[in-house]
Amino acid sequence: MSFIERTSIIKEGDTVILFLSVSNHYPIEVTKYKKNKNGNFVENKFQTIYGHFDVMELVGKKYGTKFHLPRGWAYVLHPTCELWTKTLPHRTQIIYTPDISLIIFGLDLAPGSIVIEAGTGSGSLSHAFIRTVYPTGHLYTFDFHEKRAEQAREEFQKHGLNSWVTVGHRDVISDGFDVEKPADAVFLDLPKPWEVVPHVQRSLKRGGKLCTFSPCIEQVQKTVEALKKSGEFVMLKTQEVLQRSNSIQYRTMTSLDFALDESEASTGKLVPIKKEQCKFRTLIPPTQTAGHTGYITFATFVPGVSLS
Amino acid sequence: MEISETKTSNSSGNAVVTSSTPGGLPGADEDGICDGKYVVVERGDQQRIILFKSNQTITFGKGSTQQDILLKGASGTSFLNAFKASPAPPEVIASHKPFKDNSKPWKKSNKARPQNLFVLERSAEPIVKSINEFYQLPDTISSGTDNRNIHDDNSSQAMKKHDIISLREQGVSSKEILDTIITSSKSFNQKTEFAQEKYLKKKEKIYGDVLVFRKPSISILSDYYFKRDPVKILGLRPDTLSQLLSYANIHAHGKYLIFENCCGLIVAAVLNRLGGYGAALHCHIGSNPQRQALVCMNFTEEDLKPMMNLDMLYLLRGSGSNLSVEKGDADVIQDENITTGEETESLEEPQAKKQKLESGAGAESDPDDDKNGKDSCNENEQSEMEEETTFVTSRKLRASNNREDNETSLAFFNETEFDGLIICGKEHPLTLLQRLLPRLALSTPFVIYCQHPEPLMDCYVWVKEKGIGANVYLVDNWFRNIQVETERTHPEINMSPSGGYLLFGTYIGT
Repeated sequence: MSFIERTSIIKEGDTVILFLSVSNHYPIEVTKYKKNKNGNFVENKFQTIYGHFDVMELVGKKYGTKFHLPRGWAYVLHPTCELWTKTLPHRTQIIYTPDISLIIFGLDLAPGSIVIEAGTGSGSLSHAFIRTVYPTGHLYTFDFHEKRAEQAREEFQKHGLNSWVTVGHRDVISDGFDVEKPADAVFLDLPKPWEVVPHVQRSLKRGGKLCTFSPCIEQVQKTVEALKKSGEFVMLKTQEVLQRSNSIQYRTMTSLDFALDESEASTGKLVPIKKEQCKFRTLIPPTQTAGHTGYITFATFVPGVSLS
Repeated sequence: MEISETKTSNSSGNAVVTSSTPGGLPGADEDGICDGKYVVVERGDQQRIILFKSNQTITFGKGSTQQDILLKGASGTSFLNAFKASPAPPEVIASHKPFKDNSKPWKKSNKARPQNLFVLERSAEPIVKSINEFYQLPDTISSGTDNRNIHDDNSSQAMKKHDIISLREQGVSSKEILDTIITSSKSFNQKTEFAQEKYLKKKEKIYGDVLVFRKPSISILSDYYFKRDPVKILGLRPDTLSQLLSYANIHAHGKYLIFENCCGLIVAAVLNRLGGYGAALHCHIGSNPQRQALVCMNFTEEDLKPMMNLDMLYLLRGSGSNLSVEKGDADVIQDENITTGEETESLEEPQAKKQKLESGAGAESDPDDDKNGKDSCNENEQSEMEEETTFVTSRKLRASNNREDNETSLAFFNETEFDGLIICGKEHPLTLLQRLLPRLALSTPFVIYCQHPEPLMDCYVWVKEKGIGANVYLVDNWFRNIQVETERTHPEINMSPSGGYLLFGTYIGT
């Protein structure tokens, strides 16, 4: 099974998204046993609000169909990068789909691209990188946290993506990237991206792109200053994107009819204002939404070779 | 035929086009600038996408500051180099026969004047230096701390308009003109450093003489169309397009069903993400799918392999065996199109070809004339873009779709369980969704783009009522550019208030 190479029937070892509702869905690894808190292997049962079930029951079911639970049902969905981003186990803060989309789009990635990423974090963006560079490109992703790098490596293996990704445990600020192939793109999501700029200059190919993701404007400021000082980056731009998810609902409002009732004149009796119910369908924005995620900065690398 | 008169003044036109037909050119460097390739040209913050022809000019500015820059100097070089435009030497002017657009005699910009002719020379300095330091202030210039003594009374500048024009006519370089303007200004010294920089940024628009050539990419095209002609791409903002590609789960080896009349931008973006593997079935109304943006990508034969086209008429009428009389009629029309296309391919010039590229009715009269009349503010740029971005790159991208292709596409449509569906068109998406959604494999995504939320609400309600979609969302985005400058970092003054709406979800059958 692979996130990218879609299959229609669930097999043992697959990762399935159990979809109960828009706010209630989980990734499930289809295995006979799972590790419990004490590190012992126990039978893999999954608990939902509609009761629990034996995960192996999923084997042989068709992706995209209803799966019956003791007190209800859910859909079993094939994993995609977007569903994974919504449901993955957080080991760090993660980057979400609106930012991921803009990053991949702005970096002009396509099959065959060589991409360097630091740090790996929980692998939310890494999955989308791999999907885009597949089947002829490669992702080199680094994290200075050994356990996280290890967990990411395992996850890529389970998700059938390991042929297109190399996970390294490394502090890129002190050690650089050590990737032999010149990269088409470097992505940095770390506290001090400006300190990595010299390594980026050594790793990118001419015309390659750098993208940094920083929550604070001071980080952006320092990064942009470092890029300008290097004298080898052009077409700098910083952007931010926020997504609003609307719900569609019917609403009713009372409409007041101010026409005078003709009977009023003849009878002399006051008639109250007529009211009419007016029903319409509308977009309801959420009551609260993300107001900030991070600033996304792009730059194009053109090493300064003087003609004269 | 007049349009075909380029510098080589080939009145037959035939030779001109043959020589500029891409692909067959010797020495067509894969990653360099050559005839027949689309390139992005940037001067300061002005941007153009043109079909590169080394014997033609590109025009920036207008009136007395108009520059007709001969492209020859950039031919054969790699992208991302800086070029300096300088007044053409007399021998170049003498040998240059200006490009005359006799089809639009009312266009003032066609008055080619020798003093406007510029030539390109590769800048000796690295690109960063050339771009960032288009003009270095003379050392004698100081700056003030605030604007308390600056009065807007039109008395500070000693140079008059005609003085500057006459300098230009004498062939004085941009740098020297700026030197003169600045040193003859009484107030420039009092402006703050920041105000001086801002002033120079404005002047760069007029006097900028550094050109950079870039390779077209989906992000550049998307930005370009959104800024210059958002109506053409239905207001699809780059951030929205980026999400559309994510939610549709576009990746190599996937088979996608796309309904689009958005200049071919989405089909181009999908093809780009397929990298030659998989399938992109482009459904459209009429025999001419939109491809204005698609051709700008300089796709290779390999890149285009996944592309298939399906006229929705074939979808409606079914396969060849049960075609009705009307269907036959439509076919005749299409066949005519094909013949004209083939016959004239080597004769006609961009202007004529473009008509065939323009989809749907009204292609007889030049649709751009209309447009130019309305958008009088940037008439020049507008029409240039049209002419330049709608050239058929080669035979493989022929405008008309023939019957055989459609039959193949229809068979493919009927036998394939697609990996994703994208709908992005001028038409109301509901009926399209109803027709196309069942072609998806279970547990695959659909994404519909619309500039307005109401049609998407209709789709949402239908999907929910039928119970054929899970994980369904209707989203819109807020997107902003940030100016990052030391001590002057802030969001850009202008932003786009709407980038359209997306409805997406996962198909779960019935």
